[in-house]
Amino acid sequence: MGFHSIRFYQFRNLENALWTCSGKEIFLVGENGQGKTNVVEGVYCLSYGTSFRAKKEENLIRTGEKECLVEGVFSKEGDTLIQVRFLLEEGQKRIRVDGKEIRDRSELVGKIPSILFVPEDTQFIVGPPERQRHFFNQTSVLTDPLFLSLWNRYGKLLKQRNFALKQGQQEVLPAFDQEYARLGIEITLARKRIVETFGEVFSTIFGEVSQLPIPVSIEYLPSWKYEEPKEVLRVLQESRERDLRLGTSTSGPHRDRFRFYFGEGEFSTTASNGQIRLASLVLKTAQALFYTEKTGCRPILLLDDVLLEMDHPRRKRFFSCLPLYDQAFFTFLPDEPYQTYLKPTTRVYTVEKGVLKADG
Amino acid sequence: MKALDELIALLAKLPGLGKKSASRIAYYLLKADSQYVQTLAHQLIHVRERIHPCRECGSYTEDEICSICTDPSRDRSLICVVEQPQDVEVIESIREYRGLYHVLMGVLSPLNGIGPSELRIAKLLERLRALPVKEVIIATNPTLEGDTTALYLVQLIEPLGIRTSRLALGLPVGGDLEYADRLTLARSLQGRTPLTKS
Repeated sequence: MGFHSIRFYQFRNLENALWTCSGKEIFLVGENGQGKTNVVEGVYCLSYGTSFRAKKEENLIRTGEKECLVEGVFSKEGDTLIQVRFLLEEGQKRIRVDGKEIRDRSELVGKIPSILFVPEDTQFIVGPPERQRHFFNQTSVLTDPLFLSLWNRYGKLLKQRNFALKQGQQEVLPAFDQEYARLGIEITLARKRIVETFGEVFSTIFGEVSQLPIPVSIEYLPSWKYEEPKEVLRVLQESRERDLRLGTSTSGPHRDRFRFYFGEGEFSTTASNGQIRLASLVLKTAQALFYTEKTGCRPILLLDDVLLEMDHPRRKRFFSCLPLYDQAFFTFLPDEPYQTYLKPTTRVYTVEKGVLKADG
Repeated sequence: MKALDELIALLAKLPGLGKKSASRIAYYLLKADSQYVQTLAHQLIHVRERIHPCRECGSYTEDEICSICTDPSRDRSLICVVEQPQDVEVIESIREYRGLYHVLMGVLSPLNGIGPSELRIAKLLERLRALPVKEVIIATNPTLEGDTTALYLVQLIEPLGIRTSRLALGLPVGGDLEYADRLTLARSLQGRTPLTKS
């Protein structure tokens, strides 16, 4: 199970070629700037229909070209094949699943579930609140197929409501409030449920990998403390004057906070950089485990440059704690001891100037 | 060819037409029988001159008041509120509804500069006060803006002591569950109807 082949065409610096990526663990080995992360990014595009690092999607197109394509054939349990095509042309994105164009990314998400590990993941632990909300949104999307639609609808409503507030259109605000409260409460409840069960998985794995006797936990601080629409509507009414003055919605799930505790204090104040890095890896591992537990399916793991700063014993423990996966892509620098992590199902590919070559 | 390019550009502005289809139509018109092209051009102008919104409900008519509003057999205790004039045609085609209509000419969308005063809401309230209406069926589209507009109308109509209802949301009749999108399926589960009577 996993990807059989991926075709890249004018995608970043990668050679236009059909890459047969057999292997359960795929090790991409190469110096910096050769294209390892671009391969991982391509797989991510097939899984989520978007990039995890390109601010503008046109950056995915090779410099000087007008279009790019990534196309992958993926086999699922029961040997069903899925073909996903991600095409950018004339400033438009076209995604096809088994030849059929999809209108909304939410129709793709979940078909090829993948979990991405990148060095910037530490932001989920110590970064601004929006990164933490993003992490829990991601986790919710993976396990609850309706969450993405719910979040998108809330986002659209928030934009309309904020605009009405800016314009001082007081007469329409009560109508916006009703749906705003309903959707917001649904999101709050979904987050409550997820933090409760997810927090346990996170703290167990952190203990195993770090071997530290310090307990870790996650606290959810919702913007609205209430679960009844009537009470939330009252909160909105009370903050109306302030919202109108500031021209924005000052309460709602887009203002929720999450806190990561390391012992008594928050990670940002009590943990070392190494511990924060480890916690971010564990966070993603927990996400994958959580996904498998909730859905019974195994994800694809994408690990890009995340093992670099970890000492050897921790790396080994981390490998032993990795969740079950259908396929995993790892990037390594040539001087890393990747040979010691090889399994019989591993294939090693050297990446040089955008060309992928199988070792041995 | 400047004239042809201009025609293609104009046709491409029509809903549902891209540049390719617009160009196909333009070349077709060049080749077509001249009588046909003249009739078509005449009809385009004629339609704009003769057809206008009904003074009462807002749907299109050639008269001052449309045939539905003047039909004495129509149930005046029911008003169905729709977004656009073409929605009236759609509901009429099922021959199930015998009440009156009211066209809003859009939905609330602050981002697009559409507030209550841009819609025919004041006229709706005026009609509700003048007619013996018992129920208003809100048939705006099940979009975010359509739903918000429905909630806004409910706030205005309820104080008048008139019942309000919304079109049911769910699975298409004769459709397969496996082809339903997730949100439709979720909404139809939430809005399921009981089969047992007790």
